[in-house]
Amino acid sequence: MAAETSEYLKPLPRPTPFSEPFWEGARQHKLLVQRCESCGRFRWTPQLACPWCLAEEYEWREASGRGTLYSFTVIHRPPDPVAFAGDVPYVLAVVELEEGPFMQTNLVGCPLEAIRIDMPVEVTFERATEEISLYKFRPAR
Amino acid sequence: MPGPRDAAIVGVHTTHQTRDSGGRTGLSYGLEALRGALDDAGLELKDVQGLFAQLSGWPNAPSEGSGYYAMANWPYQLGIPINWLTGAVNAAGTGAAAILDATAAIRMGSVDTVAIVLGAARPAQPTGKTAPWTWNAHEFTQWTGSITPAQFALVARRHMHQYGTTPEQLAAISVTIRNHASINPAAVMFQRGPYTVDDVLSSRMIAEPLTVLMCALVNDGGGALIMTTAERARSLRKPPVYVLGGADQLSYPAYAEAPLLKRHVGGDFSREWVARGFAQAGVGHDDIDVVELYDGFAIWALMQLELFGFCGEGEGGPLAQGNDLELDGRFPVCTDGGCQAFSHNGTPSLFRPIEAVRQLRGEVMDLCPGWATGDHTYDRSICRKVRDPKIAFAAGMGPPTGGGNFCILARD
Ligand SMILES: [Zn+2]
Repeated sequence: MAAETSEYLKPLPRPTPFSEPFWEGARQHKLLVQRCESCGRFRWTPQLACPWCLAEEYEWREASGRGTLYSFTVIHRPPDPVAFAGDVPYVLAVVELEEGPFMQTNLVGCPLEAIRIDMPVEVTFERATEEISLYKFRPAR
Repeated sequence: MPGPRDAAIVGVHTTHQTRDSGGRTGLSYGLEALRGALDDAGLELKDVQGLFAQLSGWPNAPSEGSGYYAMANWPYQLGIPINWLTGAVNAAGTGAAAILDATAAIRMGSVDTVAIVLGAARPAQPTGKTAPWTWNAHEFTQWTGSITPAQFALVARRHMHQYGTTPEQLAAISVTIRNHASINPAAVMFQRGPYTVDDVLSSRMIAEPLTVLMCALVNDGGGALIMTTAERARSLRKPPVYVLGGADQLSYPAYAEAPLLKRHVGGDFSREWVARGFAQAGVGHDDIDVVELYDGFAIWALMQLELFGFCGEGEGGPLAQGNDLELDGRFPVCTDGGCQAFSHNGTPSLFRPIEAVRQLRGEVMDLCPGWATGDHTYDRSICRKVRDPKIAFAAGMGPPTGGGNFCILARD
């Protein structure tokens, strides 16, 4: 089997020095979310300062990985029909994490007809390349 | 108290809107539109002192997003000094937002005459791929395989869950809008349709529940609009259309943050700023005769009716299904075919107020034999002219939920 890096055709995130701790966590199958050290709120996507109290101090805290499905859509028209050929139709989802933030992600491991808004979901990691593991969600077990 | 009628729209123009631009640039469309709008007003380029421009494919611009330096090409390109210059700050910038900015500059006395210019032409895409600007190129979004319609589909699905909105209701608003383009010779989708709700529902699925006929076009074209002082406007060729008021709100980074019906960061789409814009204009919703929504996707058109107060929260679906949005209804929407069927050149918000101006002036091109002289039949199979409109509303929206702007326009 060829190396995964040459087989993964879909777009991949390019970590920045700012976001690298998150992707390092993902490699270890941990969902890290920024937590404000001043007001204690969690935020997503990563930001330099807290949108509630403007404090710049934060830590990367591991989230429980549990949440509920806020919304979803089944995509039939991918951005690139070749790269996504094996996926169509696939599910883009918004998950509300237990800790508060909302995350865009893919819902996997669920028959399309069984998807329900507000259903409990949990994180699962999919290794795309050596550097990148993607955080996806599946129905909670 | 209505605001002073001291700034007026005096010239408008749209170029040919097409899905095959044959290599023309955004600048080419923009310049054609600018010349056309000046001619419409009976003004010359040397009369222009202020400029608000958004153009794609301008080879002299150093690079995308290099704001000031790109803008500084304008006086050179046009061969005139520019005394007030600004650019679009978001995708919806050239429409109502630019008109409100220009009104302020004119009201302050900084300039007398302003041109707002829009032009866009896109290179052809490799077979099968969607256009690159639909890829939601963000570190935490793009890998999911999201495309712009999917971001609106997320909102649609939640709206359905929360308010009982149905795919039939989404289809209904697209039918209304698209059937205006069917009888608009200037629309990209001229002579396509008329459509039924079933036609829209059974068209190709893009991102559930949005079918291709519930989504914006992708095409090229340009438009321009000229504004000046009320005093000067009275001596020009066309009846002035006054800017009564409006409002603008930015909310959150679209396609990066999840689109939510209720924002937990950045605040909700505020009814207060909508009320403020209406108060500034001194009108109520029932005074509005033409409603030019920014209808990029069926759900977004439907939700704007709620966000702007034409109906209550969650009531957009039922409103879309009755006759209220038709040309003889309470709130005729997107009378030219809108972003879904007139033109969506990527940043088409300027087309909304241009269509509003044309309705107010009675310059509506359709299939009525006498349209060119303003003689309309009001037979809705061939006529898309609203009866005797006096006040019009034009929106320019950005992301799915949260940000956008509008202006309210009136004729004498
Ligand atoms: Zn904080």
